Amino acid sequence: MKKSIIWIVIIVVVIGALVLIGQKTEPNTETIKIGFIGPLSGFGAAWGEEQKQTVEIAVDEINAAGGVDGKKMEVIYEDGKCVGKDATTAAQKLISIDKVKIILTICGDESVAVAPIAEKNRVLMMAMWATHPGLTGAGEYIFRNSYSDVGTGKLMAETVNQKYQKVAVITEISDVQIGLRDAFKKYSKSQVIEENYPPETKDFRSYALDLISEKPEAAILIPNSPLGGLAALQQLRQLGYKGPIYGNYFGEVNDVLKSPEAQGMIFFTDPDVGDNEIKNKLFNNLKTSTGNEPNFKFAVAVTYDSVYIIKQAIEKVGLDTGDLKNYLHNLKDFKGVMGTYGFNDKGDAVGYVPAVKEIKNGQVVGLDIGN
Amino acid sequence: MEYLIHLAILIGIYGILGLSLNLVVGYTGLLSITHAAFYGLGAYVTAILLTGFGVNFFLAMLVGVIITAILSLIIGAILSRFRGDYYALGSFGFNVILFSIFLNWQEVTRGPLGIPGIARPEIDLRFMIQDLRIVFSSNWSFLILTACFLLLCYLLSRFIVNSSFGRVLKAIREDEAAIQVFGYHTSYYKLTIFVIGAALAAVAGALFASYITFIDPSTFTLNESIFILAIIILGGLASNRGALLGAVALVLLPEALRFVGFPSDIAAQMRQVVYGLLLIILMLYRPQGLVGEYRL
Repeated sequence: MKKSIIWIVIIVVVIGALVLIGQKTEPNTETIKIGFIGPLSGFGAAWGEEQKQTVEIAVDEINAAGGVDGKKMEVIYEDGKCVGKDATTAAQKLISIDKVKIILTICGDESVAVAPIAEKNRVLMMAMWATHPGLTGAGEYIFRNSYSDVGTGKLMAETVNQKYQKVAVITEISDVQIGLRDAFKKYSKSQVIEENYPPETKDFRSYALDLISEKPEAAILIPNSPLGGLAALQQLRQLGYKGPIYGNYFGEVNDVLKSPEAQGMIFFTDPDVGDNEIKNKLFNNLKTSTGNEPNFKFAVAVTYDSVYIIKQAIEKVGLDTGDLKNYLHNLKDFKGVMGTYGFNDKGDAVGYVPAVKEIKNGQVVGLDIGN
Repeated sequence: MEYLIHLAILIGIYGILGLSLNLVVGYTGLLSITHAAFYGLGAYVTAILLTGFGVNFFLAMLVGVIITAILSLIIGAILSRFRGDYYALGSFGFNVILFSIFLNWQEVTRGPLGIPGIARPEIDLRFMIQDLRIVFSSNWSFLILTACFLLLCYLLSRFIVNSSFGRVLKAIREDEAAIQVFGYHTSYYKLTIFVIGAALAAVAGALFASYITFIDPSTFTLNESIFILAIIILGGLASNRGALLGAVALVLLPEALRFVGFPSDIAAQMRQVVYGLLLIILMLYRPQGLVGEYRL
C-alpha cells in the first residue's frame, strides 16, 4: 500500500513537471520576445543583476515610447549562473518554449556554450561584456558588444614591447585572466617569465621571490580578485622589487588607488564610457532604481546599447534573423552610450578599445597609448 | 520540443552517472565523492581527442574510458586503505586533485578557458557501404544515442548486482569483516566495482562533452560530485530504478520551477530556495530515497 502511494506521488510529480515544462506558449504576435541569460545567482550576480536592471530600463523606455514598430518588447530572464551547462538549458528553454529569436548573454562561459545552439537555430545572440576569445567568429548569428581579451593582450604587449626585453607575468587562474595572459604572450616580443596562482591566494611571497630572482625589467599583474591583485602588488614591493608594474582592470578599485605601492602603475581596463547625454540619462535612471551609481559602468553601457541596437535593427529590417544578422554585420555607425560604433564580419564590436590608465597621486589618469 | 529533448539527454547522462555511482555507494557502501572527476576525465579525454586530433567520437570515448579506468585503479587502490568517513574524505581529495589538473594543466586542457567546438559523434562506414555516414548532429539522434548508452549501462548494472559478484558487494556493504571470514578478498571486489563505476562515469563525460560542445573545469567540481550523490540518495540507494528516478527528479525539478511564475527579480533565488526545501522535505520524510533499500 505504502509503496503504491509513493509511486503515485512520483508519477504525479513527474507528470506535473512535464506539464509545466511542456505547456505551449502561443507565439504572441503583439510583442517582440527577447531572451536574457545571465548570472542572476551565484558569484556573477553582482554584475548580472546590474545588467538585468539596465535591460529593464532600456525596454521600459522603448515600450513607453511606443515600442518597436508598434510592438512592445518583452524580455524573458533566465539564470545562466555563468556556467555553460546551465546556460545551454536556459537557451533551449528560451528557443523552444518561449520561441525567442534573439538572446542576450553575459558571461564568457555562458556565451561560448550557447553560441552553437543559437547558430544552429538561427537565433541572433548578443554577448554583452563577455571578453572570451572563443566568441570571435563563433557563428554568423553571434555578436559580441564588448572587446576581446585578445585585443587587450595585444595592446598590453605592444606597450611593453617598446620598452622591455624581459617581463614577469603573474596571473590568477580564471577564464578572463588566462585569456588575457595568452593573448599577451602571443604578441609579446619580450622574454616572458610566468607565475599562475589559484583563486583565493593571499600569500604571494613565494611567487614574488621566484620572479624577483629572475630579474625582470617589468612586472604585469593579471588578477581576477582586485584585493588579491593588491596583495600581490604590495608583497612584490615589500620584497624589494623596484621596477615598473602593469596591471589589468584592478587598478581602478579604490583600495588599489589609495595604496602607496600602486602609485605609478599603468593598467589596461574596460573602454572609457563617454560622457554624453545618453550615458547621463542611463546612469541617473539606474541611480533612481537602485540608489547607487552603477558598479560596472562599461557593462551597463554596452547592455543598454545592445537593447537599442536590436531595436534599431528590427526597425530597419524586420524580425527575420537572417536579415538582422546581415544588418548587424554591416552596421558601422550605431550611436549609443559607447559613442559611434558597429560590428565586424566576425561579430565583434568595432569602434571602442580598452583604455590604458595610470595611477598618479591616488587618482586615475588616462594615457594615450590605446586610443 | 527541443527543450524537452535537451532535458531528456541530460537525464540520460545523469542517469548513467547515477547508475555508476550507485554501484559504488549504494551496492558496496563506499561513500565516494570523486565521481565528477571521472566524469570530467572522460569528458576531457574525448574533447581533446576530438578537437585536437580529429579522432572518431566512439574511439575517443573508448580511450577516455580506458584512461579513466587505469587512473581509477590507482585511486581505488589508494582509497582501499580507508574506511567509512575517511574513505569519503580521501575520495574528496582526489576530486580536488583532478579538478586542479583540469584547471591548471593549461597546455592540454586550456584551463579555465575551456574547450569549445567539440564535434558531435558520427559513424562513418563509407569505406564499407557507399554513403553510409551517420552524424548525431540533431538533438533527436543524440537522444537516441544517449538512450542506447543508458540502456547498456542499466543492463550492465543490473547484471552486476544480480550476479554472485553483486551479492558479495552487498555483503561487503552490510558487514565487510564477516564476508572476509569466508575467505573473500574484499579489497579486490571494492577495487573492481570502483573501476567499473569510474569507467561508466567516463562514458557519461564523453556524451556530455560532445553534446554541449563546450567543457570547462567548472562543470566537474566537488559540487557536481555531491549532485550525483544527491541523485542516488534521492532516488534510493542500492536501486537501479532509484538512480534513474533520482536523475529524472533532480533534472526536471529545477526546470519545472522556471515555470512557476516567480517575479523575475527573485525568480533565480526562489528557484534555488524551493529546490533546496523540496530536497530537505524529501529527506525528512523519505530518508531511504524514493525507491531505495539501503540507508547510508
